[in-house]
Amino acid sequence: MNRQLLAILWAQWRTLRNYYLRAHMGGVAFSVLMGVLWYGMWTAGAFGASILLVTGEQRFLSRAVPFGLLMAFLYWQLFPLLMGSAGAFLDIRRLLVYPVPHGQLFSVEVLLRFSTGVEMMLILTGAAVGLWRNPIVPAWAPLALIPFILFNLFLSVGVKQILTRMFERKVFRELSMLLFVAAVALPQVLASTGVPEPLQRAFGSFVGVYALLPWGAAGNLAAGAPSALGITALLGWTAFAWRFGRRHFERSLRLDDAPPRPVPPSSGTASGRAGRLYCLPSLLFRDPLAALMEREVRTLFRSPRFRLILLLGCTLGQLVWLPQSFGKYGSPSGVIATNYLTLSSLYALLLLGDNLFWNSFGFDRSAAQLYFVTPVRLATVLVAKNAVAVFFVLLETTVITLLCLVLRLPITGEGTVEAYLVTMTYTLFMLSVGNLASVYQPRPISPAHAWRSSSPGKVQASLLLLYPALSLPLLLAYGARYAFDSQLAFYAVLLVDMGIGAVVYWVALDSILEAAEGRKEAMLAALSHSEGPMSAG
Amino acid sequence: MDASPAMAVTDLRKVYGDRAAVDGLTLTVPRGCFFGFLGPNGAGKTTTIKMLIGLSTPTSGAVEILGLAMPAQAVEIRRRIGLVPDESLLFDHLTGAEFLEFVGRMYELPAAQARQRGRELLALFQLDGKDRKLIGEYSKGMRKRVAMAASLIHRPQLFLMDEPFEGVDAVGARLMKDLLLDQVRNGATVFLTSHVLDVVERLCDRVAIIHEGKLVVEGPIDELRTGAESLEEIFVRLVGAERVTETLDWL
Repeated sequence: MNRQLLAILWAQWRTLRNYYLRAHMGGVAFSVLMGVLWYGMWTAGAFGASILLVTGEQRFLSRAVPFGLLMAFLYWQLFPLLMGSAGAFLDIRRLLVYPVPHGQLFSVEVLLRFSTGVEMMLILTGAAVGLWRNPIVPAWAPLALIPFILFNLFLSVGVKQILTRMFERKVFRELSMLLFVAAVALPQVLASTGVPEPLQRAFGSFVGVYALLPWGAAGNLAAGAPSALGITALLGWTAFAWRFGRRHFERSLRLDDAPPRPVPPSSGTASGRAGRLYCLPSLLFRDPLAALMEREVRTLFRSPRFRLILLLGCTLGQLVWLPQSFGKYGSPSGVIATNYLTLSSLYALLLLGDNLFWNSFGFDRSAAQLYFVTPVRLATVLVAKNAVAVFFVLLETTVITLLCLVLRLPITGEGTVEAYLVTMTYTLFMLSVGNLASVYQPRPISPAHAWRSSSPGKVQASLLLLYPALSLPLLLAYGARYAFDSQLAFYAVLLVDMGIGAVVYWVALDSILEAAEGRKEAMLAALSHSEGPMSAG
Repeated sequence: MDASPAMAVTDLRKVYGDRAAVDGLTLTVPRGCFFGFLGPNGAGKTTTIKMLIGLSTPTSGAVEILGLAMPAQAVEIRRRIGLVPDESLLFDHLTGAEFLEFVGRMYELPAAQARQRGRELLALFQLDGKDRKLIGEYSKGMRKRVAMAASLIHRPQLFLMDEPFEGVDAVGARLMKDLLLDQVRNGATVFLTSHVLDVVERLCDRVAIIHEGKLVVEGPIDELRTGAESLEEIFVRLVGAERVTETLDWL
């Protein structure tokens, strides 16, 4: 391998090693545990795929393999978007000053795209083993998965560069996100509502084309049904993806970020209205709490990254849950439909988690030192941040409720109250644990990077372990409703949960303040650090 | 020796929207020269340096570095220049020794040689003995020193430096100046931006002053002086800065 590429990999390895050697051991252990759980789950899935394919008949294989590859393709290309994460990528800005040919940087970037598809690599490996051991499949057939993997890696480079560029442009960024969300949801909407007759006819006339799509061509080959056309199509798609990825990667090397434009003076226009919105905390609270809240609201609203997450929270949940609940196969009296508003609100809350709860000093970065040098108690700072988090959670729940009303979904007054109460209860527990994480595992986040999660692994880990654990009090309330068949029991348990949540919050706050004082230096250092030659997003 | 200048910039323009950050800059920097590139904040100095090293594409104009055309020969140019990187280009989770080894290897030095040179540079810049300290834990001055050391590791022919002395203590600054003067004596060229005008005055043979993206003046420093005028006075006169006479009542 080229000397410079080895140097990049070596520097990244040393960066990670130095980081983990100095990291809080509890945090490291938690990350390792989550990694083992998450990838363990996918390894089990790979095992399942292997077993399924080892005994499969030809008819089954010719249907299952292309479908599985389509799913792998969707996961690889779209899951990072749903998670607001870009995976690992080269920090071009810091590598471009060295004499590295662009082709070599592209090679590393392609390899790094594995990071968004590790799960799929596991599944595909399992599938390849299963196919290879299947007596009716020729031994060479699983090799067809290699160009399919390359196709995904190349395509993923291009898609990431396009999205990154799109998300750097104001307004266009928000519109693009909405379009993408709609595109992501379209297959699900069609599956749930049923494909309209004219569309079915149109699709029907293209049935032959399916075998020429990347997953179709690779799937047929991998299932042991070779055809010259299929091989040509697969190689063609791979070549196209390479060209696409290379072209867009090359464009990303032009670091021509426009310099910040001066902010025009407000004159009763949108910015004036926004200014009045920012001043709202001053009407309700006294300084310094109000000043801190104002600053927090301004920072978050002005951060492209946060605005996108907020937008995703309001829309994506609708598109994920709506077809499930009220589509062709959903039932208006089913669990999802009757709890639709609550589920959508909780989903939005989870998306906001990384920015509002788990890493609340992330946007402050090195400016967090201000909290330790000004005569403001850190408790006030945390309470201000938490109050703003509550404000945004309420805002999202309200927007989702309004969207439901506009879409004429059957939501009731009681359902709305329930959604607010459940979301607030969950928020209280999230805040308690989130404050702890913010002090023990702070990471700087660039507000300008719209499409990067500060810790994608942590998001997955949270989804796996922490979020279900924090939802136990809610499950208890729902359990009470089920056991006693009584709304009263539900609300009574929920109110007790809220009380416990409030007590936990205040008790946790005390110990967090003590920890923050002791970890002040480590916190500020962590918030000031930049990453290695590669970044994770 | 190659007769081409160290740097030849012709009618360079960089436009953002309707604003020209650099507007028709034409400049020639001879080889073996210590060149000061000055201007007030926001004048276009950093944008110019970005275009010189190929990090930003000019809207129009031509750049030639050491006889090679940018951006067509960008990789070859980067091999020959030493850039004192902006602090944000350092890797905070590497130690000084690791960073220097990394930079050396990026310039295609064998790993052992890069490591050896890195160690020697750390000693030269009085950063040895901090083997386990991460760059993120360095003071501002130490970061500048390690950045400067990084620019030397591959023995470049041209140094491009954006505010190299900012935040460096007197000892460090003296060391850096001596090193740069040594490099110039050995035939290298230094192109630096700095707001510390007395340092520029002492070090540079030639200066250029840029204001609002346009070149205001360029030439040997002695020729720019009229009478006993200092570089600071020339600078203030040319960029039109006025002394603040008003004060705030409450201050």
